[in-house]
Amino acid sequence: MDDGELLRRVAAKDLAAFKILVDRFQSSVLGLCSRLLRHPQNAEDVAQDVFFQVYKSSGTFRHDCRVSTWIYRIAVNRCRNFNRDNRKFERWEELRSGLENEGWSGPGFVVPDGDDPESARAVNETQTLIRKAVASLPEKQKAMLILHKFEGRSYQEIAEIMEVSLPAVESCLHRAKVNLQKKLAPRLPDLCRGRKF
Amino acid sequence: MKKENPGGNGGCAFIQSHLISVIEENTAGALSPDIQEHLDSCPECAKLVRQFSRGWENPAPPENAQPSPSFFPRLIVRIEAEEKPRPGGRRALAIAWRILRPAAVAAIFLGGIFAGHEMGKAGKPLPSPKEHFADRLVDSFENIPRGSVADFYVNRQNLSKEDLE
Repeated sequence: MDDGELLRRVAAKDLAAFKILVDRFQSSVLGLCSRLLRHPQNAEDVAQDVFFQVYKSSGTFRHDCRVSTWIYRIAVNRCRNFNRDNRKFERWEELRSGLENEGWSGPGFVVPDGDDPESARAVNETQTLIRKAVASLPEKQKAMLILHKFEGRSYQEIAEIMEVSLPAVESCLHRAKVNLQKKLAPRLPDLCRGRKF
Repeated sequence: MKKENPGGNGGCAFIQSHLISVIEENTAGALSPDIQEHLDSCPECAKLVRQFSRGWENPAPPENAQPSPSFFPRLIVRIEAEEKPRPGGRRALAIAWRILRPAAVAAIFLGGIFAGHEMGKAGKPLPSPKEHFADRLVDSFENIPRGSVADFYVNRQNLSKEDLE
């Protein structure tokens, strides 16, 4: 059953269809929320909000774009709202996580097959550096870069998700990469020397 | 990407300041010969590009990417709570509050303006500057009372040394 048909059933309050829809998208929505939110521990709550909104608004979906695009749009907007509403607690959270994560090496530290641990550690440090730099970008640039680079969405899809024109996506992504480069540049000599961040 | 001279002494700095572009060009197989030449001759830059490429092309998996087993059940509980019909009285109250809330805010705002206006009217009118300073005005500079503060400031230049002493 395709996503459009599933959503029609969800609009008719079919919970079985809703379960299929949630199963189909929950990992990708959760992953996106986790990357977009300043505090990934809130990702599941925000993802719940996203699917709750999907259920409530399924009747108003006009089927003029892909269902995945629509769900991603809801997710991006929810994350932006959440980040905006929780900005005032940010300093405390930063302080707390800074204390908790002293010597933190980041999640996903796995040694790929055929890699020596030293090389894997270097890649992990690079990933951590990139993630921190991306997280510090302005909200819109961060969302577009994550959708494009980490979620593999095309420019056209990003334009539909963010409700902007295609040239705006191209321009914003270019600015995001320039900003990212500026943020990374001072750390690169340390990376060359194998210093920990 | 602005093509400077990556082959010279500033080659390493160029690579570091354009790393993302270098990596993307490298991945697309469109690396310029100058940069390629520098990478072939500089093991540090080659290592940096190789290491960063792996981090850039294979981003770390997001944290908490796997939903907990209670994800869907919690969602259903929330949906059922939303859809459960509320008692008639509470629902009417909720609707009334939703409608009346903006009206209440507007009424408080307008009431504040009206109260301020009324308070402004109730007070005595402000005296004119002439009335306000009536006891401190002098008719002319000739009639400044001797020894007063005005006398000191206006006439002190005319005071003789004897007067000052």
